[in-house]
Amino acid sequence: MLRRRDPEYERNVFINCPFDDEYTPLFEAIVFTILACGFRATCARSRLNSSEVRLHKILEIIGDCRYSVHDLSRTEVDRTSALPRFNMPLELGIDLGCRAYGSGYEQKSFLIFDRDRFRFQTYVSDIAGQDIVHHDGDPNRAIARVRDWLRSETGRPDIPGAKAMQLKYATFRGELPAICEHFSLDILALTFADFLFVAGVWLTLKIRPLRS
Amino acid sequence: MRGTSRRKTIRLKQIRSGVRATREMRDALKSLGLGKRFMFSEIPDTKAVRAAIAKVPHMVSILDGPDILFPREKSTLGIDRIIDAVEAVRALRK
Repeated sequence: MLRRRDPEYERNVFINCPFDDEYTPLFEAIVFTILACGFRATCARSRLNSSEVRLHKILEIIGDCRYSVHDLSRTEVDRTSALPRFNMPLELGIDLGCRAYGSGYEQKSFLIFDRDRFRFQTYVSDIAGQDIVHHDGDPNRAIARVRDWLRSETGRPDIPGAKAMQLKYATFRGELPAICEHFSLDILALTFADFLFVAGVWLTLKIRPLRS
Repeated sequence: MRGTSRRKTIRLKQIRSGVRATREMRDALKSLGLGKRFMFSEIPDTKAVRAAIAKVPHMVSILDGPDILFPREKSTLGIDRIIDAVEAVRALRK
């Protein structure tokens, strides 16, 4: 079924990553960087409607985003089932297919992360020709990579430097517990939408608050 | 080069709704190219613009980077409450 593309397609960034507690620091750093660069972050968590089929939801989101961040760092064998987790490579494959076959999607741009530099060559050697960056599980490195990618892909001069972004994020992390406490919220239980709003408001007010 | 000097601009973001504002404040917002919450405008940085900003300092934020986009979904926390919380935390840290 044909559906209209999001009017803000050019400013939407899809994040394809694991959603576990261990990954949360990286995920939040990536979301913050995308917001601070003037883009809108979205992921499968942004729509919590259980009546929707998960894959359909992901397909729609991929179709609405010109930019995508794919993190393959958790493609590893599960200890209990002894089977690999393949959600992230599957979504990367869908995105690559969208770019290759979708009319009007030729300009799609991806940032592919892995834990180490050449690890992906052992389990998805078909993408060996792609430039894949590694973050070593370090949020600051992830911030720099996402910022550099968005700046080079969009050519926008108003995106701040990586150091400034990392400093901003450190300040935000320092204030976030107190903001959550204000709402009697558990910092680990913030929903994706609430995190986006808190980070968005913080960034908007932080830049130059007019009220003392 | 002659005639190519760029005019200094200012980037503004409306952070509070103008619904309960006075007519004078709403006019000031309109003159700044704003009117609805989260609207963004980039206008020349002149004395007149600064004077208009001074009329609505609590409703407008001056950005020194790109426009910050908010999600379209509704926040369960409430935007105004988040703004109050961030300002309260900053005041405490000062």
